[in-house]
Amino acid sequence: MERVGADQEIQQDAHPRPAARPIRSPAYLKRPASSLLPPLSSLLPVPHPFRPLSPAPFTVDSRASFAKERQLDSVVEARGLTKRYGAVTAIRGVDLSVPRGTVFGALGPNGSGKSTTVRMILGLGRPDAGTVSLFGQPLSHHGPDLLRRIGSLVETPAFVPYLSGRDNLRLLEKYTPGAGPAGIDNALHRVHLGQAADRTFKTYSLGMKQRLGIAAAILHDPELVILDEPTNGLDPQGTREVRELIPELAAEGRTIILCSHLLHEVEQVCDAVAILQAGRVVAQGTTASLLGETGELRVRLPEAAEAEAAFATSPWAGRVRREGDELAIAGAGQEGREINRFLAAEGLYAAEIRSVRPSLEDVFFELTGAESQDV
Amino acid sequence: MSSLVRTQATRLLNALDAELFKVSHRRMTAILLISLAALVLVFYVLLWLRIDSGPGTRRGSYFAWLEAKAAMSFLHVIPYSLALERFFATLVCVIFAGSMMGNEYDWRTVGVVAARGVHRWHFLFAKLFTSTLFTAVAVAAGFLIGMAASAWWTHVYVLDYGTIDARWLQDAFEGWARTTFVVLPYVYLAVLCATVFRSAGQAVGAALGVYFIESIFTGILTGAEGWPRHIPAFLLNFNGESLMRANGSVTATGGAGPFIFGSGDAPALRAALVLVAWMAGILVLVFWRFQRRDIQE
Repeated sequence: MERVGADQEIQQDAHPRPAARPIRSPAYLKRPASSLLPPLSSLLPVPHPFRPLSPAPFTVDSRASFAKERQLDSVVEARGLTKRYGAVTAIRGVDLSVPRGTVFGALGPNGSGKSTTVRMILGLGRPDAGTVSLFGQPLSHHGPDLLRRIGSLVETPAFVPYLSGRDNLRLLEKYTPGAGPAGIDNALHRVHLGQAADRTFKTYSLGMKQRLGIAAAILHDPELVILDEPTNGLDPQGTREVRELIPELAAEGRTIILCSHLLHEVEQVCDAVAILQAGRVVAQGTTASLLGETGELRVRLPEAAEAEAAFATSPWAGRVRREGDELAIAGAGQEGREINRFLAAEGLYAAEIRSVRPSLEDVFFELTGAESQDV
Repeated sequence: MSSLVRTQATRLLNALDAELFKVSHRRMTAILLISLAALVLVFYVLLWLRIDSGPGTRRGSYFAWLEAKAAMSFLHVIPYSLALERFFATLVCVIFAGSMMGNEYDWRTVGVVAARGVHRWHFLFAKLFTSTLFTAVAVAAGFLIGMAASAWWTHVYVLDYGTIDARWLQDAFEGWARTTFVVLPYVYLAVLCATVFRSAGQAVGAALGVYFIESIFTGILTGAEGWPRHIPAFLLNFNGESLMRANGSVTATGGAGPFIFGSGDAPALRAALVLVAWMAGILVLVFWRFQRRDIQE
C-alpha cells in the first residue's frame, strides 16, 4: 500500500472528501479492498487551479503516459468547475482533462455531478466558477463553433415526438448541415434503426430512442462524442452493440466521453477514467493506472510462516500478510518474477504465484465509499 | 468580416429552415388554422341566425338588426372580419407560439440543438420569426374565410358589396397588417412566458391569462377616477383596440358591430408606439432570458 509512489498516475481532488466507508469486496479477496489501494494521501494531488501532473514514466501500462498526453493535446479541459442550484452545490472545483483519441469514462453514483459536468462542457449550463476549454479554446468565447465539433447524448434521448426517426435526423441535419441523406441513412444503419427509421419517434421503445440518440450524436461526424448513459434501456444485445460501437468510434479517431454507472462497461471500453463523488473528482487517470499498481501478489507455499519471516528484511517488508499457507503482498501485482527469485534465494519454492488485481468496482467503492445500489 | 457575416447568415437561415420544417410537419399547425377558420365561420353563422330571426319587437332591436346586417355585408368586411380575427387569432397564435417554444423545453429538444452549436439567438430568432409568420398567415386565412362568408350572405341577402378597387385592396392590406401588429405583442408574450416557465402549458396559460385579465382590468380602471384611469392607456388591450379603430367602423356612429367590444380611443400613432414599446421590451426580455439562462437544470 505504501509503495505506490510518485509515478502513480491517479489524481486526487485537492478538496477533502468524506471518509471512505467499509467497502464490499469480492469473495476472493480475503481482506478489505481498501488495503489493496494506495492511501489517497499518497496520490498526486491536483490542487485547484489545475496543475499538470508530473510526466513521470508510466510503469504499469504500455500506453503513453496519461499525463504527457493531456499536456500535449486535451480535447476537454475543465478547471475548477463549480455549479450551484440554489443552496445545493452540484459540482465543486471539478478539474477534468480528456486527452485526444481516448475513450474517457466519467464514473460516479447518482447525483455525483456527471451530467451537470457534461452540461457545463456542452454549454447548456453556465458554471458559477471555473472554465471549460474545448479543443484548446475557451468555450465561453468560441462556444457554438466548438460545439459543432461535438456529438452528444445527454441523459435520455430528446427528439420531436411527432417526427419519424429519419425526420428527426433530417431536422438536426438542417441545423448543422453536412451529413446529407446518405449520412442520415448511414447513421441509422449503424445503430440498427434502418427498418424503423420512418416510424414516429413517440412509437419507439426506450432502446430504439437510445439508438436514435446515438445516431444523432454521430450524425455530423464529430471529433468528440459525449455519451451519457448510452446503454440505458437497451437489452443485452443492444448493450453489447453499443459497447462494440464505442471502440469503433474511437478507432475512427474520435475522442469519446462515456458517462456511466455501469462499472464493468467502463472498465471494458475506457482508456481513462474520472471518478466523481458528491460533485468532486476524487480520482482521474488511465484505467490501467487506477487498477494496475494497486494489485497484490498471492504466493502459496507450505512454508508460509518462514517466508513471511524472510520478507521482513526484504524490500517488501511491511506489505506482507499471511493467510494460512498463503502470503498476500500488497502492491506487488507486477513483481512476481522478483518475488519468485527472492524466495528461491531463500530456499523457498512457491507452489503457486498469482496476481490479483482489483476491479474498477473495487476502486470505485474504495474512492467513493458508495454502496452498490447507489451506483 | 464578410465571411463571418455570411457564416452567421447561413446558420440563421439553417435555423429558420429547421423551424419551418418542424412547424410544417406538425399537425397542430393545421389544426389551429382550421380552428380559427371554423370560429370565424361560426360567428358569421351566428350573425346570419340573428338576421334571419328578424328585427324583433323590442325597443332598439330594429337598429341592432340593421347593425347586424351592416356587419355581415361585404361593404364592412374589413372592420368586422378583422375585429373577429383580432380576438380569435390572438387565442390561436398564443397557443401556437407558447406551445412551439414551451414544447422545446418539455421535450428537452432545446438542449439537443444548443449542444450542437446552434447559436441561442439564432434558435430564438427562428422561433419568433415563425411565430410572426404564423400570425400573419392566421390573420390572413381568417380574413379570407370572413370575406368568403360575408360575400356569400351579401349575395343571399342582396346587401351592399361596396366598391372593390385598388383603394379597397389597400385598405384590406393595411387592415390585415394592423390586425397582425395588434396580435403580435401577445404572441411574443407567449414566447417570453415559455422561456421563463420552460413549459408549453404554463406559457399558453399565462399569456392568455394576461389577455383576458387585462381586458377586465382595463374595464374597471376606465371607470375609475384620478390617475388610475390613465393606466389602461399604457396597456396592450386599450392600444390594440385604438389601433383597430383605424380599420373603420360598421355603423355610422362608429360602432364596431355585434359581438365586438372595445373602448380604446387613443390616436392610432400613439397606440402603435405604445405597442412597439411593449414588443421591444418583451423581445429584449426574451433574448436576455434565453441567452443568459441555463437550458436545463
